[in-house]
Amino acid sequence: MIAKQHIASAAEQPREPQNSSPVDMEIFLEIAGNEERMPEMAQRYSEQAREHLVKLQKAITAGIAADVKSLAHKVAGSSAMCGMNAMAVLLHELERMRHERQLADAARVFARVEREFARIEAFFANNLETTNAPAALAGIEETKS
Amino acid sequence: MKRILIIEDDRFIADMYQAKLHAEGFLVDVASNGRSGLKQFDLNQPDLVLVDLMLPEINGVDVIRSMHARAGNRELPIIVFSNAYLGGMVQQAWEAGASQVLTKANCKPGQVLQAVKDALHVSSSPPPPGTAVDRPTESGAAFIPEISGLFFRNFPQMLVTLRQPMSVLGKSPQDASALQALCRTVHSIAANACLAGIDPLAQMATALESLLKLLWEKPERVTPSTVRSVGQAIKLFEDIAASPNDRVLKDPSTARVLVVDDDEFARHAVCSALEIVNLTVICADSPANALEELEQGHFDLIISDIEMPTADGYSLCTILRGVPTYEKIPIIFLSQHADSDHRKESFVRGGNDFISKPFLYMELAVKALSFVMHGTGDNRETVTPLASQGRRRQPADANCQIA
Repeated sequence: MIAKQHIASAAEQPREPQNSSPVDMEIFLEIAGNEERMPEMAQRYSEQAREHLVKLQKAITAGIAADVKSLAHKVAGSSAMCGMNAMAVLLHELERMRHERQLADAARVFARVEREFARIEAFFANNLETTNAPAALAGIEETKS
Repeated sequence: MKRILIIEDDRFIADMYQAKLHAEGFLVDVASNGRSGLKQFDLNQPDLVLVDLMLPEINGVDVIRSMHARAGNRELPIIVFSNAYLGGMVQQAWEAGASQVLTKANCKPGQVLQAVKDALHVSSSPPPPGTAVDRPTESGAAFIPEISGLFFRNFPQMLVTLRQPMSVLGKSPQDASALQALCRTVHSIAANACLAGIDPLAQMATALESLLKLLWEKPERVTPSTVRSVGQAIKLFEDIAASPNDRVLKDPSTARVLVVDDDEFARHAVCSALEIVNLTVICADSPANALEELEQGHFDLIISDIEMPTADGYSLCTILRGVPTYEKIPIIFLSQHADSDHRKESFVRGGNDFISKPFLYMELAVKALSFVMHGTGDNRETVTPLASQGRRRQPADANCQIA
């Protein structure tokens, strides 16, 4: 029984699948409509996610659980629709931190979100022509300092 | 005399075209699958081939490739019957060498006969002596009532053949044989409904066929949700078969769907999915804006996100259930959470259905068509013509369009 519980608990933990693609291209292509629109869609996602992640980090730092929940929910939704499954899973973990007392672990989870976002940006930079990955990452880096 | 080879697995459709083409003075051979079609091709070299893309054993694209390889430099017109929503397969057919692609759902027999004559550069020939088939009209409308009667006589039996694979799918959702069997029968329903001129039913069956084909090819995309959506569409078929004379299917082209979601990517995805099946979509980015839209015009279906910043989808639902015009309007909730608790709550809070993000576009399209055609929230007398409603979504509609 204990072993089973342990397995279930481990399975529920969001994984950081470093070896798998951060973007399900089948889903991303579907939402873009065609290959030509993929760079534009990637840029739009990056801009929107970056903007919300900056706010999310501020909310975590300020310890405002309601804002953490709503911002994490927003980025999780866009990420899920665009096929960024690992990103969505991490953000859902933040979304579940509904109370201030639960935010103790939020900074650690947010760091994983940032790493996953960087993977997404790098993926777009390597696979699509016009995304601006370094600039996209800079937005979040700036708010840290 | 020109020789035509028809490769079509639906016996009724093949026989009908054989008779019509024969009446027009053509020699006609019929094959029921790709393999026998290629044998027939080698045996009696045709001047033109009519081939269905969705064939058992060897699909239409591979048949076209093989025929072009066999024909060498000989000019060979190949006319393809296709499902309107199988864009990828149609592209492959063009690349394989199809001369013309006809969409089954929009194509009447008279148009097929005209396409054949045009491809062969022939005018109408007198029918062979003793042929008892009526001459087709330009649109083929002359024989639609006769085919329609036959369709409704055969429809219940077609639905019976769906039960066994649906039952298998209930226990084993990724069973490839069951998905294939469903796909083939629905393919036949779509083709026959089209021939019979029952256009909304043909559209529904065509969309369902596309979803089933996608699931059959990618069983990893099968979920309890997709199985439920397939079941809903089949339930619609059963209701129609049970009372074909009483039921007036709502024409999807006159239906309006309201999409409520604060996330622009989700709005864009829902709009794109619904536009595949030509539904008119209006978007709102909040429940407050949704209520404004609902005051301005009638809607047949609402697809709403649950969690939104200012008010949630449940609140919108509660308000609408208290308004006579919209108390019965179907509401499909969208959620990032696919678990059974969220699903159950959405029903308790007044929703008619639930779909989780990300969704298969074709699944949402089929689901939306099922609700729109069932007309659960129907207020036909309040529905004004599409032209006066305006607001059919255009690419410039900022609410729906990304960038």
